[in-house]
Amino acid sequence: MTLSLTDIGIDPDESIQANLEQGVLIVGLGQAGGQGLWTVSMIEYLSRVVQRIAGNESIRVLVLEAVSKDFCSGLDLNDFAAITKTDPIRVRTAMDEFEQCCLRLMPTLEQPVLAQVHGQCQSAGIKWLEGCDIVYADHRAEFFLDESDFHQLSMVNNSQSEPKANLISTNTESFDALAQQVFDGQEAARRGLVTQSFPHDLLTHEIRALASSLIEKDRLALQFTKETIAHVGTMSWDASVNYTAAKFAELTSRQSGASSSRAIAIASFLAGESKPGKGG
Amino acid sequence: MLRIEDPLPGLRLIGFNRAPKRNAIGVELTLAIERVLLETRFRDDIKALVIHGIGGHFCAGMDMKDFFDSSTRSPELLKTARAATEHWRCHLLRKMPQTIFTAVEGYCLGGALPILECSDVVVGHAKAQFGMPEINFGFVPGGQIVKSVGLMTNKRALSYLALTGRLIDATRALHWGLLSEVVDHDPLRRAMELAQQEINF
Repeated sequence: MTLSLTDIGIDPDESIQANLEQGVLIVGLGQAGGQGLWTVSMIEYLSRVVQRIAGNESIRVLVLEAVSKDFCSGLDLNDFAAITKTDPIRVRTAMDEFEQCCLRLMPTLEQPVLAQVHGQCQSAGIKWLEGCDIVYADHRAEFFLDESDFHQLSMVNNSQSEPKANLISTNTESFDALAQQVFDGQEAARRGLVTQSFPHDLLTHEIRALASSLIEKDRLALQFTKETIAHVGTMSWDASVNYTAAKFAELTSRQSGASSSRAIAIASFLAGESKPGKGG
Repeated sequence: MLRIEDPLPGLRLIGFNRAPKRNAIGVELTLAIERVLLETRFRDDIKALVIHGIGGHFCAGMDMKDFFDSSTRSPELLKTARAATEHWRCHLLRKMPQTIFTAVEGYCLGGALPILECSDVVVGHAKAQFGMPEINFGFVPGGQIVKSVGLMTNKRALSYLALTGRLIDATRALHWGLLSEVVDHDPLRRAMELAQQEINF
């Protein structure tokens, strides 16, 4: 089915397309042939999409991709400058909400968040990737850590930018940002900025296949897995044991019932009818 | 459950020996692992450990029949086994004074992954397979396993493994930091070579 943004509680925007097919919400940015410059309204809409799909059980996976020739070739500075002149608070609020969305909301959003990147990816596009769970990139995508864009984000936020999680924190990345080096999708995969890179022709097929496989997983187990990934890294070992015990108890309680996917999967495995351990 | 061998001075082999279950860690195996590590940690004459699986697989993770919903084990025994598991994989294995070499072939899944993280060197066969299949059972991977995998690799790899439940091959495991080296012959032989070099150093 085709889902308008209105269906999930936000107004439509000509620069964003949304389509819901079998639980996968695909958000397409920009317009065909466009440059991939992100405007203030695009930033606002992305934040709202993430905020509004939380708790929506009809949406199982969120995929962000670009309709334009680049995933994100930077911020549309003309748009930012024009709006800043008339409504500076709006711009600062938009950037602050976007940052909170990427760094805090998306990692614990119950739906897995995927992105496929082609063309250029920089500034706000990089920040979006920080919040994504799995990112596939075109082998030939161009990643550009532009120091001036980071300054722009920090300036607009009127605060120190958050650390770039564990994705963009090494000396290599700092050097690239300062020296304005460009690296491709394969290198981005090597560095852990994206999960995997593919030839351009396979990219959409691979991300769709991944999204389809994820909607077959137990919704609650996916959510708890995301939360576990987000939280246990900073816990002590003993705290992680306690956290696991609490999560298992909650999961078992909420999944209880013969029809739960957990009960079915276990019964099927023990009966020798399926082999989930082999990655199925 | 475990085959312990001391084939050379300074070298101890710890082999998971539960081939019919692909060396899945059940109650008796986890208690045996804790026991041998406790016994080995104060052995000044042992300089290197080589951990491996017997029967074609390293370890298929935690034994579902023992540890999860359908377990028929007594609550007391399960409590003891769980405590032993957390003891050796969260604490004991990390504090072993010996250099740890691990040889992986076949499956290396879920609860087996912290062993890799605690190892100094991990040699994998080219056809070995790695993964966190818990999500395929409607489970959540244990926080200890997630934390451990997160110490070996980056957020992207961790999310892919934990959320998709897909298995990855040795090449990608090497790329993602789970392995030190990939070989197309016996990884145990290679791990023993490296351990011997360490002992002789």
